[in-house]
Amino acid sequence: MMGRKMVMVCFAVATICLWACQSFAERGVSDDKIKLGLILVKTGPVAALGIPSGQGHGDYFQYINDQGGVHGRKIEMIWEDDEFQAPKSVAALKKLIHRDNVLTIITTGGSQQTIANMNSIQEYKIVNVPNALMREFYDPYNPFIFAMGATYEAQFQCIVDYIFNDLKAQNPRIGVVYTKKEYGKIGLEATRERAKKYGVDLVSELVLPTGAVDASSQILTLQQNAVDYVITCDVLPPIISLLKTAEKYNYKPKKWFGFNWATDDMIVKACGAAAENYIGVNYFGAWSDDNPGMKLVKEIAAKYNRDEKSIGLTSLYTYGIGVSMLYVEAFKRAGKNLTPDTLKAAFETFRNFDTGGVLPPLTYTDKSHAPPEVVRFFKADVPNKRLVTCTDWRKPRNL
Amino acid sequence: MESGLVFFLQLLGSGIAVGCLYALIALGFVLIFKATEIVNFAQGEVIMLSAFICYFLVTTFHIPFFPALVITCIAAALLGVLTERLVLRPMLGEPVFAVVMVTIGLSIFFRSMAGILFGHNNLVFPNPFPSETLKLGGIVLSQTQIWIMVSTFVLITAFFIFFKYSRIGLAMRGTADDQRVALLMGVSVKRVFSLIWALSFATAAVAGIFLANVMVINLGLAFVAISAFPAIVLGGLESIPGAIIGGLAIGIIENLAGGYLDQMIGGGIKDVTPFVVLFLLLMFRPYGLFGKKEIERV
Repeated sequence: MMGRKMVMVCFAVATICLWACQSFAERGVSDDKIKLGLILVKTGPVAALGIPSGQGHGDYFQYINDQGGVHGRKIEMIWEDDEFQAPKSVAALKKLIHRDNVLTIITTGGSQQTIANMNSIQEYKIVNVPNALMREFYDPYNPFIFAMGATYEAQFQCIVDYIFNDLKAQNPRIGVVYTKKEYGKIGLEATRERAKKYGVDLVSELVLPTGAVDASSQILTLQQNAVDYVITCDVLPPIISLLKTAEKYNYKPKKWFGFNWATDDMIVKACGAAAENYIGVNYFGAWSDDNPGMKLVKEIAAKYNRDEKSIGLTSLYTYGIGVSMLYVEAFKRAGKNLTPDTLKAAFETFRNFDTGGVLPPLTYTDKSHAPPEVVRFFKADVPNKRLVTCTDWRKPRNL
Repeated sequence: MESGLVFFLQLLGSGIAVGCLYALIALGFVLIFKATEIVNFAQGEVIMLSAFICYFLVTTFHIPFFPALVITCIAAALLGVLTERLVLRPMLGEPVFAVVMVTIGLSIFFRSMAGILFGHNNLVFPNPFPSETLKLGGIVLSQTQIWIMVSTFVLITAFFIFFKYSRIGLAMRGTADDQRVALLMGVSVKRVFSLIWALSFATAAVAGIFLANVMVINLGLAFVAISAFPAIVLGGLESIPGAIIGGLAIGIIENLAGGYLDQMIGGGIKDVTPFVVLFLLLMFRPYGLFGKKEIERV
C-alpha cells in the first residue's frame, strides 16, 4: 500500500518537474524557432501609431529569417492588438505567455499598458523595450525593462536649450501648446522649468485637445501675445490643424517645435508651406538620412513592397526596425541557450551598440537599463516634403 | 480697427464657422430623433465613413470635389436606407434601450469596417478650395470656412422648404407628431422612417466631408460627433432650428472661452465651457432651448 502511494507521489513530482521545465526553461524557444510576442494597437483611433511600428518589427524579423535566422532559428512574431487599452493589454500578455508560450514580448503597449503589466513583466521575466518613455520604467532599476529613447522631459529640455544656444534667441517669447494627456503635461512642465532656468517665463500655455475641430482661438492668442517660439506637446493630427490655422491667420513665429510623436515627414507633406519653420526632435533616424542604418531600413521596406504612402508614419516604421535590431543582436549574443535570463544578460552586454543611425548608440549594464537621453533635431524641407537632420545626437545641457 | 475688437471679431468669425459644423452634425442626430425618438450613436461613424469615401473618390478615382461630394451623399443616403431596413426596422416596438444598444453596436461595426476598408493611416484631404483667405473687416475666413457656412445655410433652407411645403415633408412632420394618427391618415410610416435615415446620413456625409477639410482623416473622426452633443441638447433634441442655434452658440462660446478665459484660467477651459453653459441652461430649461416640453396629465 505504502509502495503504491510512493509511486504516485513520485509520478506527480516528476510531472510537475516536467511541466516546470517545459514552462520556464524552454519557453518559446526550440531548435529551429524563437517565438516572440508583440502587444501593440492595430485597430481603433490611434492605430496609425501602432501599425507602422508593428510592420517594422515584422519586416525586420522576416529579413533575418530570409537570411537563415539566428543560430539556425527562425523568428516568429505573434502580434496582439490591445486597441490602446490597458485591460486588453493585460489579457494579451496572459494569452501570449500561457497559450502561445512566447519567449518574451517586445513591448506591451504604451505607458498605461506597461504600468498595468509591470508585475507580470517581473513574474514571467518578460524582457521588453516599452515604446513609452517614462522615467519610472528604469528608475529605480527594473531588471526586465530596457528603456529606449530620450524621456519627454529630456526632449523638451533639449528644445529650450536649442532656442537659447543654437538660435541664440534674446529674450525669446516662448509659448506652449499642449494636450492634457500625460505626455502633454510632462512636456509643459519640463518646458516651463527649463525656460525658468534661462530666466524666462512662458508667455502662453494653451491646451489643444487631440481631437480639436478648430485651433483658431489658440492661434489668435499666440498671435496676440506675440509668441515667436511655439513648442507643441501633442501628436501629429492636431499639430497639422494648428499649422494650417496659423497659415490662415498669417501667423509666422520664428520657429515651431514638436517632440518625437510629431516628428515625421507627414507634417511637411500635410502642411506644405505652413510647415516652413517647423523643427522636430526625435531619437531615431529620418527617412531622408543617408547613413548605413537608414539605407537598410529603406532596403527592407522596398523588399517587402512598402512605400512611404502605404507605411504612413515612416518614423515609427524605422523605430520598429530599430528595436528589432536590438533583439536580433541580443539573440546572437545569448547564443544557443536562449532563455529570458540569458536574453536579459545579452542586452546588458550592449556598450554603445551601433545600429548605423537607426537608433542612438545604446549601452545597458546589469545596474542600469536607462535610455540614452539623446535626440537629434530635424527641420522641414518643404520643397522635398520631408524632414532633414540638422544636428547630431545631443543631451540636455548641464545648467 | 482697434486690435481688441479685431481679436473679438476673429474669434466670433471662426466660432460661427465651427458652429456651422456642429450644427450640421447636430442636424443629423435631430432628424432621426424627431421622427423616431432614437439617438443614433452611430452618427459619428457615418461622418467618418463619408470622409473616407469622399477622400478616396477624390484621390484614387480623381473625381472632382463637388461631384465626389454628391456621390458620397448618395452613398450615405443608401447606407441610411439599408441601416433602417436591415437593422432598425426589426427593432420596431422594442424598448428604446434595446434600440440604443443596437445603434452602439452599429457604431462598432461601422468603425471596424472603416478600418478594414480604408486602413488606419492618418490621411490629409487635398484642399479643394483656393488657399487665399477672405477678409471681411477684421474677420479672416478661409474659403473652406465660407463653404461650410454656405452649405449649412443651403441645407437649412432646403430642409425648411422640404418640411413646410413638400408632401413627403408634411408626412414626416405628421409621423414625428403622432405615428398612429399618421398611419390612420394613410402615411407609410415605414417609408418615412427610411427617408429620414437617408436624409440624416446624407447630412452627416456633408458634415464629414467638411470636417475632413479642416482635420486629419482617421478613425478618430467618429468621436468628433461627441463635441456636437452639447449643441444638440442645448437646442433641444427634436428641434431643427434648435440644432442650428445650438451649434452656432456652442461654436461661438467655445471660441470666445478659448480666446479670453484660457489665458486667465488655463487648463483647457475652452472645452469645458460648452458643458458648463449646457448645465446651467438645463437647470432652467430641461428640454433645451427649442425642445418639446412634455406635459403629463394624471
